[in-house]
Amino acid sequence: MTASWQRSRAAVFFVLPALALYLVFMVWPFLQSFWFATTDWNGATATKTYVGLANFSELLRDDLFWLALRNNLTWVVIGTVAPLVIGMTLAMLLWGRPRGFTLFRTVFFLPYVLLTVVIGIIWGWIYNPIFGILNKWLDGIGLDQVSRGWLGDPDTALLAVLLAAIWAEVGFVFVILLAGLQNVSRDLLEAATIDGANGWRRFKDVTVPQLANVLNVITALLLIGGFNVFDIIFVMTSGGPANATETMATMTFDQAFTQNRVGYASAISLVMTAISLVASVVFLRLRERGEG
Amino acid sequence: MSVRPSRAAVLAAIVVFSLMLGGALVPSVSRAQDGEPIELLVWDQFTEPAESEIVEQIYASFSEQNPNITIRREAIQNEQLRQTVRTALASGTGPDVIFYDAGPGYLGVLADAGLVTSLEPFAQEYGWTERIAESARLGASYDGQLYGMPLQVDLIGVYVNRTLMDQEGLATPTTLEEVLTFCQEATDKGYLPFAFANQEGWQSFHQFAMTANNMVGPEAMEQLLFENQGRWDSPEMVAAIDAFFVDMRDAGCFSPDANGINYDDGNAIFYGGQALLHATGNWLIGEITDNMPDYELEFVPFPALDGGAGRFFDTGVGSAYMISASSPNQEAAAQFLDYLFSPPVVQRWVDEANFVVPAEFDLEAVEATPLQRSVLEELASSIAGEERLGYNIDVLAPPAFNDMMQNGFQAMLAGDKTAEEQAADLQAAWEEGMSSGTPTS
Amino acid sequence: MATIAGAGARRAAARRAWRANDLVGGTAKYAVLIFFLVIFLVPLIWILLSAFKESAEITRNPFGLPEVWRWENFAEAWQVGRFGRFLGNSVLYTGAIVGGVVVLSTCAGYALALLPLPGRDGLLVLFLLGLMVPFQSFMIPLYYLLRDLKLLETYWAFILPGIAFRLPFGIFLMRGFFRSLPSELADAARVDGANEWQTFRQVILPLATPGLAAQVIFQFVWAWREFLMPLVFVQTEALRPVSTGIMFFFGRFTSQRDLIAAGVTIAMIPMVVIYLLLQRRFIEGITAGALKS
Repeated sequence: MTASWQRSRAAVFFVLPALALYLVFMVWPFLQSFWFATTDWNGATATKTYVGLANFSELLRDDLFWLALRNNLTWVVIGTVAPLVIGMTLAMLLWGRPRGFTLFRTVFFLPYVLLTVVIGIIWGWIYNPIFGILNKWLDGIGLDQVSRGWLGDPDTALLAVLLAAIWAEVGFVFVILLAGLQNVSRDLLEAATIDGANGWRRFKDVTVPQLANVLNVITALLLIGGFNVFDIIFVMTSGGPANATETMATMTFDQAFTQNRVGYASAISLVMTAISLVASVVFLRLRERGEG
Repeated sequence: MSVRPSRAAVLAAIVVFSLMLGGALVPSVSRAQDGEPIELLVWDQFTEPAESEIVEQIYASFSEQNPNITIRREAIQNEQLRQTVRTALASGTGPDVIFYDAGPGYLGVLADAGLVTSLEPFAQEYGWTERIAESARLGASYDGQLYGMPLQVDLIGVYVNRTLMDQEGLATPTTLEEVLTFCQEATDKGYLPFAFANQEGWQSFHQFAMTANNMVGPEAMEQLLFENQGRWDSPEMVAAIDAFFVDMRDAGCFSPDANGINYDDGNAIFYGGQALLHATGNWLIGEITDNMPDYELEFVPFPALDGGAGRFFDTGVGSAYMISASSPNQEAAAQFLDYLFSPPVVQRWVDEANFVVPAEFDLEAVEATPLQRSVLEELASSIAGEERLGYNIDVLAPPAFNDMMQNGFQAMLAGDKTAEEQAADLQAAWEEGMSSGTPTS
Repeated sequence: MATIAGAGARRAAARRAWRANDLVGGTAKYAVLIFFLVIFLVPLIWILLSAFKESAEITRNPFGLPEVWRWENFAEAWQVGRFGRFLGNSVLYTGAIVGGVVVLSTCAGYALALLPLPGRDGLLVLFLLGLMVPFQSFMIPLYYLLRDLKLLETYWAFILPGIAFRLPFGIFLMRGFFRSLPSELADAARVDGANEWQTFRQVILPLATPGLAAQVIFQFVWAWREFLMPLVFVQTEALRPVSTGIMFFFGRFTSQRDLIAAGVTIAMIPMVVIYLLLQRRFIEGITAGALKS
């Protein structure tokens, strides 16, 4: 009795410091977000006026919000599929440690350790219409009519930033898939070969199911990341040109910290949080049902 | 059994408490008492090396005269300052003094949020009202209160690379029609006609200000901006928007990638002699002088528009020094501002940095190149009320309107929006800004 | 007998076919791998070479070796960009955040995994929520909270929320490791009369080393790269970490491309060097971290 009581008490002491910090600096402000979102606070006045759900109904009528949401969806789709496909391709190619394994793995993962601003500056230079290497290269292969200021054209800006983000993210996806492949049974694959399954079927019916857990984790991470993307956009275009790269997160930042609309910004941030939570939960549920 | 498990708790408590305590120790608040050392954190936008140097010296000479006040200076690029100034001021531990854009879209937003101090009491105490020209004081006021000390009056016009123009036998265009032919000729000779760059988006504000003023004339602009008489979606305004963002765009007057080129790179194109004209403000004059020693330059008003009111330089208050409302060193900060606008220092700003300070200075005593002198004289005569200038728009417009200029003109340059649509959106943003712009009690 | 022999032969044939496939595909495989190698390396090499050139040369001669190796670019960038300060700050922030997360999450993870903690399931849900919500969902109120606590524009404004934000991940990671340990170990120690703290420190902790390594690496990369938090909470130049400091540096010297390239290189070097030195551990840590939590 006393022993187990003492163990419980010890457990509380072990968990308390972490819990305290977590409650004060994360849970409490998170709860406050709900309160802020129902006010029209400008960040300065002493009192916050309750406005009910006015911020949320304004959001529904705000064209910019729908544009931002659409950009987020583009980001989520391409920014999830592309790293998965490229990462999977690279992992499959390096499965079984062929010659040069270490070199390839080292280089593929390298961009992941770079700072976002560094990635933004490098790619901003690549796209630069005056001295960027992308246009130089396109001109070189005779595609000069394609070259343009990639970040300055509303038709290409979002994809251009997305490409930079994929470049930086692929290594992470690749490394995790590569580790996942270590647990895929080669015997099963051989058995499938004997049964006459071709390369694609072996991949689809034998390799992928064994990677299901790993793929779930990565997909969920990429989904959440896509709905919350901020850093790389802020650094490269700040949401421009002509709002072409505006996302929910850049809009939150702008409303809260440059337009004085703290209540409205809180509402956007909560909608953004809800969408990314729902998306990842739905995704995981669907996967469970698919497997079960 | 002993109660040993609590050792873990003690350890954990120490971790948490040391984190908390350390935090409490960091912010040390200094009081403005006689002789007690005070440090003022000043954020300004003088990032250009030559300007930065001059500013550094002027601040240092203040500290020499006031040994108990040291100035810690941080220079931040204008665009980034606009993104961070609000959070920094609201933090309560940010800069004491900031040098930031005047007008309702910038200074007004800060004043509205109670982030900057009203300078009225200091203006009384130090006699700033007599020292600073009224038009400039109005530009740095919000809701009838003075919030900023305006250091620069801006003049917006077109730089002409005279040397290259003469060399190529090209005449400076004076009408839009001439501009369009000029653009063709310049392009044929391998030049970019205008060094227009618009990645940041604010550059388009000035292009619009020039065409709009030339179209409707300064009187009508004044009516619209100050009295809200008139409309942004009138046929004249549509024509003004069309002139630059459609006609000149289609005539190849500037890079089709203008949205993807930042201001500094655009300037570099002009410095390097790859572009012949550069429509921007007099704030660039120092850099142009430094970077283009081998060229002869002129500064002229933007060409006239068909059926328009004429050709005007446009002016507005540029940036102003403000005091953070949360600074514990209000007195020292005011003392600092007073120094910056004292007659000898005003003369230094004009002499050394070529700023046009809206205060009295001796124009004859200034050492300047002909280009610099022409700009100084133009502004001096307008401050004295001798010459009519147009109005720079963004420093007088609410934030929603500036936002619409920024994104709408970028969309037009990309061919995604017509002048009519943009004019209608500007009018809507204006009305929205006018209704919500007045601070509630 | 015959069937078994037949199966063996078929299996051998399949294996040969596999190898043949490998050979045929070998060229294509290396073509793809090298293509991506180039994609990942060229931008970095371009910046590195640009850092030794003059601004004009970067435009004129983008891919060639520098005409003169201008090492002084680095000295200038280091000085005008105040990289010494920014890197120093980054080391401090990263050290404090990683240290804080490791200590706190190891203790909490242990309690949540192996001790009879009252209300454990509720706590797990609470921490799980923290794993899933983005920083923006509490950024705005946190900003005003830090202001009211007079912590804004101090080192603590990044350190404390930095720890809190990464704790949920850290706790789940450590809990996963502790749960994979055989529970008899702790029981045996207790029978020997060790108290909870001694059991934790002398028996459990040494076994958790792989988990701790993964934790340190993961948290290190995150803390070093953290951008939005310091952008909003520590703007004073003297307090900026390199992740935001370099952004202001870039803003100030946009058109001085040689300086920018040198600054970018300086900002890259510490992390890249650490990664290259420890790359096997690095990658193991990242994978273990991502999959275990």
